[in-house]
Amino acid sequence: MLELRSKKHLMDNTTKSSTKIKKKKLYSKYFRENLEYMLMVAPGFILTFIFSYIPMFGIIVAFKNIDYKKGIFGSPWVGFENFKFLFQFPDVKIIVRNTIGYNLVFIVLGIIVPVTFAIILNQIRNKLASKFYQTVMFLPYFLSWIIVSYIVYAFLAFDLGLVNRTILAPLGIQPIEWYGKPEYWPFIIVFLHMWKTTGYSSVVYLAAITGIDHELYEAAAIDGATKRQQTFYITIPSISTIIIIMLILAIGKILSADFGLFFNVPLEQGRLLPVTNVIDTFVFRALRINGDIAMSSAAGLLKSVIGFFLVMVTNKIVKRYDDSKALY
Amino acid sequence: MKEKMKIPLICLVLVLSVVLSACNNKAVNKNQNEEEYQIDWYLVASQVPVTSAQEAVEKAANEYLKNKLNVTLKMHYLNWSAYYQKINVMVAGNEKFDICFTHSNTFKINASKNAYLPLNDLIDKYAPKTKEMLGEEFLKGSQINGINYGLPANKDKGSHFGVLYRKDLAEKYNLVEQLNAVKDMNDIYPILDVIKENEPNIYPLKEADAYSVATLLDFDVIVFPGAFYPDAEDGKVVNYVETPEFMEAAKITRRNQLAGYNRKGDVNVNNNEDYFMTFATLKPGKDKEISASRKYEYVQIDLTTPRMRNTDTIGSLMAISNTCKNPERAMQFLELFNTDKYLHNLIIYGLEGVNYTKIDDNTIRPISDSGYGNAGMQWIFGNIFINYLVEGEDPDKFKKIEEYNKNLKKSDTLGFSFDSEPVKAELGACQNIYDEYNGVISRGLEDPEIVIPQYIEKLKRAGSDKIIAEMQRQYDEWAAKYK
Amino acid sequence: MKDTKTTSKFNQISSVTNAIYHLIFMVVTICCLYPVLLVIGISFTEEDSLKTFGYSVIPKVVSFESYTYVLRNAATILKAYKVTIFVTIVGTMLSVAGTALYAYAISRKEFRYRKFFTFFKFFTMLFSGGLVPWYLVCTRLLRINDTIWALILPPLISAWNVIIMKTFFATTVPDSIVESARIDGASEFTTFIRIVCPISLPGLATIGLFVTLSYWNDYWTPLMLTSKPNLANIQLYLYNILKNIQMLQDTTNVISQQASGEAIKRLPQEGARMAICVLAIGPIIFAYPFFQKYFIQGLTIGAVKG
Repeated sequence: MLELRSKKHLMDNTTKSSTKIKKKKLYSKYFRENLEYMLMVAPGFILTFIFSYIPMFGIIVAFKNIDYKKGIFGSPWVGFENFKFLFQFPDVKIIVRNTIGYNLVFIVLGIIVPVTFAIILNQIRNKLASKFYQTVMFLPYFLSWIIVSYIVYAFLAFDLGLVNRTILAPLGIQPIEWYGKPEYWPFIIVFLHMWKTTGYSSVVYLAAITGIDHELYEAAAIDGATKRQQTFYITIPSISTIIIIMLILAIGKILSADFGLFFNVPLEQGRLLPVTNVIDTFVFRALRINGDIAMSSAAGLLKSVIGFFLVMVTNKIVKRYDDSKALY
Repeated sequence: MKEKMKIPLICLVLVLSVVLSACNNKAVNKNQNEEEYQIDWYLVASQVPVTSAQEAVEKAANEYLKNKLNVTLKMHYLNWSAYYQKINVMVAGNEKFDICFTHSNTFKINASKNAYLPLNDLIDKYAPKTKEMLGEEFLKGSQINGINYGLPANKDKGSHFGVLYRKDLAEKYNLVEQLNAVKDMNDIYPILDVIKENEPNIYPLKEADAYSVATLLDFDVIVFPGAFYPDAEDGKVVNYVETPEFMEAAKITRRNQLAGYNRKGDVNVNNNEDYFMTFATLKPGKDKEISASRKYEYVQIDLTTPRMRNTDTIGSLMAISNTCKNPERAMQFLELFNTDKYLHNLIIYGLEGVNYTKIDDNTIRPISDSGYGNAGMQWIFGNIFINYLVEGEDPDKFKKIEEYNKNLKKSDTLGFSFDSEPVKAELGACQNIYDEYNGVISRGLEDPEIVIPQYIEKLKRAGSDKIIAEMQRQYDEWAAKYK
Repeated sequence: MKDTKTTSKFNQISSVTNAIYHLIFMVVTICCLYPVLLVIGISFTEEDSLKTFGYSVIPKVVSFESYTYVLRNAATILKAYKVTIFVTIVGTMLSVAGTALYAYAISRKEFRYRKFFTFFKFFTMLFSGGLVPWYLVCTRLLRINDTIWALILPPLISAWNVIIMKTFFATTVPDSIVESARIDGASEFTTFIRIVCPISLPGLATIGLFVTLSYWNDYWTPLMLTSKPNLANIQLYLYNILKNIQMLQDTTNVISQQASGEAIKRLPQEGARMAICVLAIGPIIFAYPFFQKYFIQGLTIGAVKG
């Protein structure tokens, strides 16, 4: 009996100590893993801290009336004075409507079109053709908006433009003063935006599709799934995470706009302003003559805060459905 | 014996006083006249000099300066693209530099925020000759509340508006005599008719943005939309968009567009060379300058009175940064630079034989791609009257400009600087409205009877009345003090 | 019925669908290729004929004057290209390495602080202190201005790339692989380099491409942080020429009103702008095909799954 008990005791002790040892092993492994992870994030962390976080003190500029003799820190505080100009414009509602309106369209199309193209490009039989199409699709990214504005002008000029002269005239239609009719421009702008960005955006989705396990497709094919069914039940769900992440990031930028597109391409024509003036171009115009860095800092801060709030909300919503698909 | 003692005694006293004052100075201001001081000078260049070429010029300049002022010069040339970005960032970051070129709005904004030092005393003390050349009124123009924050360049001190027309076409249709007899725009339209009938590929007249019939109204603009009438002496600020004269001018422009004088549906992208006649800001000899840079020869017709206004006085200035450690030396340098012909031309054109060749006593020919040379940018440097002429320029150029300067009508409002801080939100809003309507009206693209009332209404909603009231208030205050 | 063509072609799409796809993309190709050809064509066209005949892909009158004007200083341009190429290559390598490491760490659920570091990076996407503080940090604190590092370090690790890469790691790297490597006693670093990276080539290629393009196109960083001409990269060099032409041609500008003579010698306008565009893009167009082989299905090197 004693033997048994002492054996049991021994066994208990061994189990206890072995659990302890296991725990210790796990803990030290855990610690070592985390140490390694910490080392991995170190370079990025340090660089980000230096180049992005240390300069953040500049946010206070938005709340000050800058006097260069006193420097940024010595200048007096003026509360929200520098933000006023953003709200005192009589057409401010139009500006905001333009910005958010265009961006919503860009977000929706900016996901549907590149994803669709990426899927199609992966399905096209001739791989060489597919590569060619991808490369060509990427080209517009390289042209600056100023160059694009010249090309658009070559098409849309009233008297000598391609459209009026060689398309409408033979059809007997009166020449249209393109740069004076705001109703056409939402379409022109959306088209140009998609034209320029689709190639670039589709790269992300192409890469994501490439990473999908081929066995899934094989299994589905054996089960008799059509290509369409494969697309909707395998491809899209597999890249759903990256789609949602891109969506959330885009929502954070909903108050920003591509300056070149909205300022240069419409050639600064006044009559188009009701549909081409967005927050960034409005701020630029407002500060052109009398502006100072405090006012532009205020505009940037307001955009950041609102964008941040929107991202938090969106991220929370996404988290409720599927935790793994959220941003963090 | 006593005689002999006097001289060494005097010497001793002199030496002692010098030493004592030197010690004093050292205690008060270390850098004053003892140590050599380096001046960091920021300038714009259309073509940034090659480092070695620039260093050669600096070496020559420093040798010359050593005996005169005990400063060494370090020039920093930046391209247009970078220049104001850099200056603004340096100013905001309190970086040390001494002198920089500045002009127009950037100057006003930075000066009003104390980026630059007040110069009144320095000018009086160390730059009397420059002050005399510039003249009281010209100096006044760039002041903010009576303080000078920049030293203007001595060049053409005013401007006027008019038109430039293509000489070849004028000669082709025998219009030269008629053109020479032109007194105002009404005389011009019959001439334009001739061009319109006979040259389908040439647009008769160019009106766009800041250059249209309305420009000839010659409003003295403070900041959009506030302005003074050109010859008014009552100091009344008006919103020039609301004036009947503006509407009249807009109607003429509209007629021009409909009649085919202006290009149909003009969006202001095109070359000036496609037009027979364009509006322009003029000065004596402007047509010759333009002709040198274009394919065709142009002749100018002056249509408004040459005036000196505040805007003319801020076309080119040298400012001393608030981070300059020795402003006295900096100002002394500027005075020397503005008056010393050798130094001035050395810095502008470079070294003789290396960067340019001399054609005669006062004319040079720049050597292309020599790595250094500012021909074409003479206007940023302090005093064009002591420049060498560049080959091809009018030999009477300086005389004509001096004559011009003498006869300028000086605006009543010289020296008034508007502080936009109290109404900066309203001004920003009005700028956006300006962008929406100005181009349309100045090219006659829509009926002004419809569009101008909309324009005015929007401006009012943006607070234009408040702006005008504030401008009037500030002007009255300034006038009471300084006039 | 085994498909014997390639492993990726299990029941192909129908020929009709394939044809429709080709049609769609031919339209897309025209839309995308035509403007580029137009730009190239204009850059080789004589300036005056541009005014008479307008734009066309095939120049009515061929002329190299735009290129002669822009390429005046061949030596400077060569140096500028050298700078750009060096910065792009070194920057891309460092950036991809740093970004991938960071992204991998925050993609691991075992990493205790992943939420913090993710948020840390993401926050910088929306909030920024502005130009002046950043400039002060670069020049006063780090003193990297006027060094080659000024062109490489500031944009090195972008939050956008980190988040994309993190998503790639999280979705395409099965936990089982990492687990088994860990059980085998491999360190995290070894697992990362030997196992995770080869599987994640598409993702790495993606950010590699983005980073290459962003370094190549960057004129802003050298504009702000360098003043020595020998550190100008090709984008900055060309931007300077462009800005110069703009300033001097814009007749409403006070500057062009005052400038004279030499400064505004006959500048080719539109041709020059197009030539600048062509030179700015030039070599980098080949970057895309270079990275492309990593994200077409069936051509990936790493089929190391299962």
